Amino acid sequence: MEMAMSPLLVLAGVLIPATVVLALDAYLRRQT
Amino acid sequence: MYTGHFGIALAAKGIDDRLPLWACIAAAFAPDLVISGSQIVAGIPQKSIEPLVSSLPGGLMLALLVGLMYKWGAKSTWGSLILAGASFLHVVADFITGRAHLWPGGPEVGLHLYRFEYADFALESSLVIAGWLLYHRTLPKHKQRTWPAWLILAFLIGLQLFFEIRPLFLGG
Repeated sequence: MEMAMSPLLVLAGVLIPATVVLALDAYLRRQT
Repeated sequence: MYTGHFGIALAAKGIDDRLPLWACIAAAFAPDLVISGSQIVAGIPQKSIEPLVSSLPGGLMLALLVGLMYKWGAKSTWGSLILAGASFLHVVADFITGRAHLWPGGPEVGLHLYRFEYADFALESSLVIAGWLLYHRTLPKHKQRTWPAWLILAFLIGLQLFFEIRPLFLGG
């Protein structure tokens, strides 16, 4: 990521997409 | 690099299915997390912390730390090597898309692919696709071609597209 960005923006740019990916992964691995 | 790091995280999960995906993502973004976390929590200036974790020796040290932490917590040598690799690849990848100090206080070098949005998008999307192809094999067979699996791929490529065209919306 571009280091000129604010630290909060960098953190949000990592954590928000990570949450989406992890949620989808958990859904895919859910026992049915 | 942005979503290319997610591609590396997905690839790490694809290489060793026993690795938790959150750990793969955390390792793949370790330098960014350390830099932004240090700024937010301890108020350490970016100029001070950035060369320590984004340079080649700094990235190597951080990768070693990531590997040791996982080895200590999960007792898996193979897993810790993969996570350390994912962490170090962050630094290597950032030398391709941006510029960074070779070592703390050393020259700032890098291909700075960010200057060419199409090339950056092509490279990062390719990494996402490659990582996703490895990752999706770890899913149960009957889930590999379902919409949530495809959504992970589409979401990350869409995010990269937004990253490239964000100056149109956000200016700068």
